[in-house]
Amino acid sequence: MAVVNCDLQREFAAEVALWRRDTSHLSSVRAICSHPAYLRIIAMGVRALPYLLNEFIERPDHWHLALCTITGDNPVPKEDYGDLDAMANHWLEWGRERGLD
Amino acid sequence: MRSRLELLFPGLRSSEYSITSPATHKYNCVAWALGIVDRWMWPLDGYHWIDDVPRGESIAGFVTAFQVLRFELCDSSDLERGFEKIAIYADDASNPTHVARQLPSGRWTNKLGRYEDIEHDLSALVDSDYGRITVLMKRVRPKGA
Repeated sequence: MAVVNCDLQREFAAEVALWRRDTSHLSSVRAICSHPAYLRIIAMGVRALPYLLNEFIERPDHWHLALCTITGDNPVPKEDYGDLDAMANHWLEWGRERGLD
Repeated sequence: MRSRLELLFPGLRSSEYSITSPATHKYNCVAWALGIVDRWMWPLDGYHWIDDVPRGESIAGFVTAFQVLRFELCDSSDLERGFEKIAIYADDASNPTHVARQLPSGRWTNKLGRYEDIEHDLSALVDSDYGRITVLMKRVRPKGA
């Protein structure tokens, strides 16, 4: 069971809000995933995984790259690339298998 | 009061445009330019891309990808009967940023990131975060498109 870190959770939520505000109109995945707030979320590392997985399933978005970078893993089959809902489900399953849900 | 979109794309303030879909994360401009509405397309790992086309995030890479889909380079954004046109936008560093598709009416349709689709004049999105139009391409309009 994941341990809740309130400071980290607040910091994570603030970065997500900033990232979403600044990038929701963008089409370039590179631009979306190189926003400073997104990079700060990646820098939070494995501590952010429970929040990241929860965010991905609650509001599917461009979290695949961050999760791959943090975990060094990729549970998404190529046929689901770009389908953000399906990608979120693969990562949810990945988290469940590791007790991160 | 300016709408959210007009703040992001100042060119919309002085042109006629309409919102033609709800906001959704399910597809992006490249997919929408090809009539696909269930995935994001971008030439980076983790995203859908055109089969057998190298994932090169450059204008040349985009042109190659659309050429595989029977588009060819053209000079004019004017409506040509029987043809479907696309416009590829790029930033100051020539990184591709966006793709728009011309409708049979001559107006243009765009999926704005995770926001809505809009119909608009081609110039309305220029000088926004999408940069400028760098390439125009056309192909014979697919049946039903």
